[in-house]
Amino acid sequence: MIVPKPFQILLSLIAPVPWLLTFLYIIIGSVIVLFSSRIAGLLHSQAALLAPLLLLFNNEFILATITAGSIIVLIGLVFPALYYLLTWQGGKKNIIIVSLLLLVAGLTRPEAWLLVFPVALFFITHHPAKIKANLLPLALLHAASILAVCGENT
Amino acid sequence: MRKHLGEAALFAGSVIFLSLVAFHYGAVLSPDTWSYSVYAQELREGRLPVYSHDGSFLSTEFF
Repeated sequence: MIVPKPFQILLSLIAPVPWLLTFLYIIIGSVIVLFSSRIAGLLHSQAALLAPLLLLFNNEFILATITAGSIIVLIGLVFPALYYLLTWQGGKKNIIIVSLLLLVAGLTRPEAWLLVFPVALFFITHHPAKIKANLLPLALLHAASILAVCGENT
Repeated sequence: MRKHLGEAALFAGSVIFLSLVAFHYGAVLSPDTWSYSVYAQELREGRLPVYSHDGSFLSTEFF
């Protein structure tokens, strides 16, 4: 099977510029750290401090960041999508944001589009008023989804 | 306001920490460590690389 990898070829256009690509991925990695804190903060206030530390001292995360791994762009789009999904208060704004983030995430790795199914299930089956009660099982569901589609890299 | 300050500090701290780590391991100064440097090399030589699903090189003349 031939994989053209359009996003990687697009990124390689700035690769000849020294340190620019690495710095871009460091920015995206910091976005991941920030949103991991926000998502964990929805569950528990002290977890908002613990989650960034667990990420910043993780060998795999640092390695993927400083070698410009495509998984960093994927998670850098999926984590904000997960945050805006869990802070949904009804209305169309968050649905559009989550859909656009997952759409762009699918351009980096096609398996990101699989996340559309649990996200659609979330928007269909859960009333905004009951989100707080269902937060933990939903977070576990999404973690399991991400592990299922990206597990080969963990 | 305090929450936004904390998040800004976290973001800036992450950028500084990851920059120091990248500089320590030489990722900033040596493009050989970049995953996409192989694509840049192929593009500089005027070829478009085609790889199979497991990353092995297939052809430069497919397109």
